Amino acid sequence: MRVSTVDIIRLVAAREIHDRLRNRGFLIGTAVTLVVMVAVVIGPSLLSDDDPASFDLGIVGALDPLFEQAVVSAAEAQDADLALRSVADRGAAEQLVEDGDVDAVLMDTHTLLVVDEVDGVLRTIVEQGRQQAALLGGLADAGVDLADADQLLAGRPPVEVLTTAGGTEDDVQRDQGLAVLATILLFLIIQINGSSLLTGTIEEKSSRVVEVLLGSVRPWQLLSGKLSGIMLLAMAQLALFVGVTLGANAAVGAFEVPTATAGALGVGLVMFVLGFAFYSSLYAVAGSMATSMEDAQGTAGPLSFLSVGAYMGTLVGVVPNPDSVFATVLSYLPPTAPFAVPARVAVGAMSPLAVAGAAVVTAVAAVLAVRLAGRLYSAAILSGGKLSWRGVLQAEPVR
Amino acid sequence: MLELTRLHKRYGDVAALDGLSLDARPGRLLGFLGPNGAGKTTTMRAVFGLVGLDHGTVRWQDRQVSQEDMLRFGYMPEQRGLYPRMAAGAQLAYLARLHGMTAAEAATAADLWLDRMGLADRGGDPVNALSHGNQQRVQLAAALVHEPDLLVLDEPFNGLDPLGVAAMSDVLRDRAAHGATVVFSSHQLDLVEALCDDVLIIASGREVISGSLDEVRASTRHHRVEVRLAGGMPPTAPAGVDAVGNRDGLVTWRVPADADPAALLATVSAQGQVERFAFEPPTLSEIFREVVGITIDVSDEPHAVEDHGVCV
Repeated sequence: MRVSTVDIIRLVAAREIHDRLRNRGFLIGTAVTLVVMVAVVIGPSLLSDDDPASFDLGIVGALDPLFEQAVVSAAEAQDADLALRSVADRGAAEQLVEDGDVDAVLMDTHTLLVVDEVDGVLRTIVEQGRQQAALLGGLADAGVDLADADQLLAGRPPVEVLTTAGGTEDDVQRDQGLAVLATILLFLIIQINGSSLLTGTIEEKSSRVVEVLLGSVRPWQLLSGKLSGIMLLAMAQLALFVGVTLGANAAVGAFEVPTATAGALGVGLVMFVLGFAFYSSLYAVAGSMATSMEDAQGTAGPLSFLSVGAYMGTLVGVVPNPDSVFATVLSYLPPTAPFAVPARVAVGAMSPLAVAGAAVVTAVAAVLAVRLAGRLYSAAILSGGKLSWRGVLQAEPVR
Repeated sequence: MLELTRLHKRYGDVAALDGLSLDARPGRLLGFLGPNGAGKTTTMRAVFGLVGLDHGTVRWQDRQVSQEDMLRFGYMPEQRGLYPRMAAGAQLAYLARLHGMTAAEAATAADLWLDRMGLADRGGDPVNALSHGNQQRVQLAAALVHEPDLLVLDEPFNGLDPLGVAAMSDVLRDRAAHGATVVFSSHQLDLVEALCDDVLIIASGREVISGSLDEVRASTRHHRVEVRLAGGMPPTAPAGVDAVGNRDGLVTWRVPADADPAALLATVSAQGQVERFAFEPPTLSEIFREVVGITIDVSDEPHAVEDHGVCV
């Protein structure tokens, strides 16, 4: 009987994937992430209703045609539909407001009757209407012909903002949004899979099945299989999250998907794989050092600290100021580069050469982390008790 | 043939193995005995390369053990272990595949061994849903599912009820009869005596005595005598005889191996009507006590070297 290393890694990876797909923690983590991603995309759209606002405004007494003209044009400027109706007296006004038939009633030129509060847009419309009506009145008194009043009142297109990079404000916001999404995605995927690697490794160690496995499989083969399986799962998760995020975006039209170059996508994927390999291999070691989940809180603590720090540092320090020294430094530190580089590439703050440099640094660190993990894992996985990071570095690896 | 030669292994100040050698031959069962902490588990782990030896060689079929050789080994560690949430059948098939079987062979072998263990209808159950005894059976099946040429079992009888012990004994005899080399450690010396062809007793990482069961028995300087007189009155021991036991009038003496049984019987007969008289080589348990200096019950007290995080 023969079995190649590739076969062993494939078998271990397949078991790992099969096990995760039946693991409640993993499935819940994935589902929660999906919800978070969808919420990030459609949340703002839900809050900022794109449908034109529509208001019913009552006015006590006779309608001043100047005011009517001004308020309607103010509503147009606010992109709102406004319906006016005449109301007999205060009693009728109260009735209409309380019944919800109108949003507010203008009692006289400066009193607005509402149930408890007035919509800000409606208030703006009324105030602008008053000012413009007064202005028009003044102009008429000064002898100006108001035949061109419509033209005077017609809304002006909003101010257009142009960035020095040649884009618009929306482009910058969208790119920052993508940077944030990429950072959140990587973080969540590392967290979910890091913790499932931790649990899986502890289960193998505490159930002692690992000694049975190591009767025929070498520790590094077992670790490679586990990491391969988890890596495939993480890629599938990434595809799922990105797919669902894009689907949610297509549904609500939250942002225009940039026609990203293959290069930018490639950078994102490469940094994802490298970052994931770096963190997941160390999570596996943390699991092999522990004998229970309580132990693991301690052994994985430094890693969680590192990944949360890299994540927060990127969100707080890199996304808003992608050209800062801080952001540049984070791009070349292996634990933070997987977060910082895609975020900076998304906002166009890195040259291809800088990206290549950061990728090489991270790749070297990832290879070293996996090799170190193989050594530490084989030293820790058969030890009887809990090991510290210092202890595992001094422990003797088997096979 | 498995040959371990002059194995040395230290954990800090503790010598877990101190020049231990062991030979195990195909078709034979080797019982591996010693008090806790004597180095049995370390020796067994060394066969699978799970211990970094300071010195010594592990050879199989006259050559260094290769990764490929190890696929033909079956291992049942002292600390039992299976994936708790994985179905028993799938688990056996998985282990069989890791030992080089094809998917089809592995599925067949898993079914076959579940059936042999009387668990044919439990293959789909997760291991943690099985009773303790049934988990033990799956554990044994896990060591056997790929039909290994060398079986190394660390305390395979621990935690088994008498039926389980009988089933385990049958399986081990069967594997040896099929030409496998079988090495197992045990604290149940009566079992080892009933089952083994060869015996190796170690203490403090060193061999104390080894050989076939008969050789080991013959090597001692003592024989045991069991006597019971009618009425249960204990007979008085002749000079030069150690009285080592008395249970309900059944008296056990330790006598020099060259003592004359006829003379002893005559002495006893003079004291009353003899209901039972036996003159035989010592039991393994007595040999163990004689060569190790303690009874195995005493040595059972857990004192594994946990300080180093390693069970030796």
